[in-house]
Amino acid sequence: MSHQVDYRDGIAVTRLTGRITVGNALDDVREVVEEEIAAGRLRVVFDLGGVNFVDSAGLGELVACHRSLDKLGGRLVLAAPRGKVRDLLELTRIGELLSVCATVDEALQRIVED
Amino acid sequence: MGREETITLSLPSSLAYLDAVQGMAELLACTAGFDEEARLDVGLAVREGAINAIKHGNRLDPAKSVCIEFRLTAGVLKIAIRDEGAGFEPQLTPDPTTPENLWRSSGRGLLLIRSLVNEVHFRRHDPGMELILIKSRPADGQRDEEAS
Repeated sequence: MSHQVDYRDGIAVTRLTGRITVGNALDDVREVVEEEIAAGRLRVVFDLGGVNFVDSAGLGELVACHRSLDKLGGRLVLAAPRGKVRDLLELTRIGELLSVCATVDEALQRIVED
Repeated sequence: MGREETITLSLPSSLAYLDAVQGMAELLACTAGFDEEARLDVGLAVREGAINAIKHGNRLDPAKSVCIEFRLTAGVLKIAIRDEGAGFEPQLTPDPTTPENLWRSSGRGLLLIRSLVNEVHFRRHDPGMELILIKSRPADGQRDEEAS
């Protein structure tokens, strides 16, 4: 998995690409959030448009990232999941815990409004 | 296909083999005539079953193995994943979709597996637990269409 971070009005928009599965990818996702927290940025959007596969450990890591931000008063919003990734977010009802938006722009709007 | 075909893998209890196991499952699902979506479903279901067996069953003990048997019959692809652990009661695993469990970072594997295949069965051994996944094969006509 690879990632690229852009900042928009103080919100970290991280585009994740590849597979979020048990192993090193989970460490990478966790490090992204830890770096933002260390820098005092507590509003994060994960752009999942480039993620083509996720397993239960990957889904769990997304929840763990949300938990880390939430306990500090921050927020994680997921954007642009597609195909099976979107299906699994719906199946597991993770969207009831953290917002899942169709686009990055929608996610930014959601995070600003909250 | 007029006869059963069986392929058996024996793995050390290491998560490093998950991608290989998933790839094998998807390859056999392709051989069985499944379309792309169903192949990915089979691959993910087997991956999740292997994670459970390696991590929760064998507790990553390198002295223990996980055995995965793929059986291809005329009607179904049947996959049996067996560990050497203490076993568990499937009906006692918490529902990960309830509000109190949504915050947990684990416990979603069985939910995924159940959604991806037609049937899921559990069989206790002494020692070990066997997870059996059954995915119905597409009808011959559908297979021919997908192959053409």
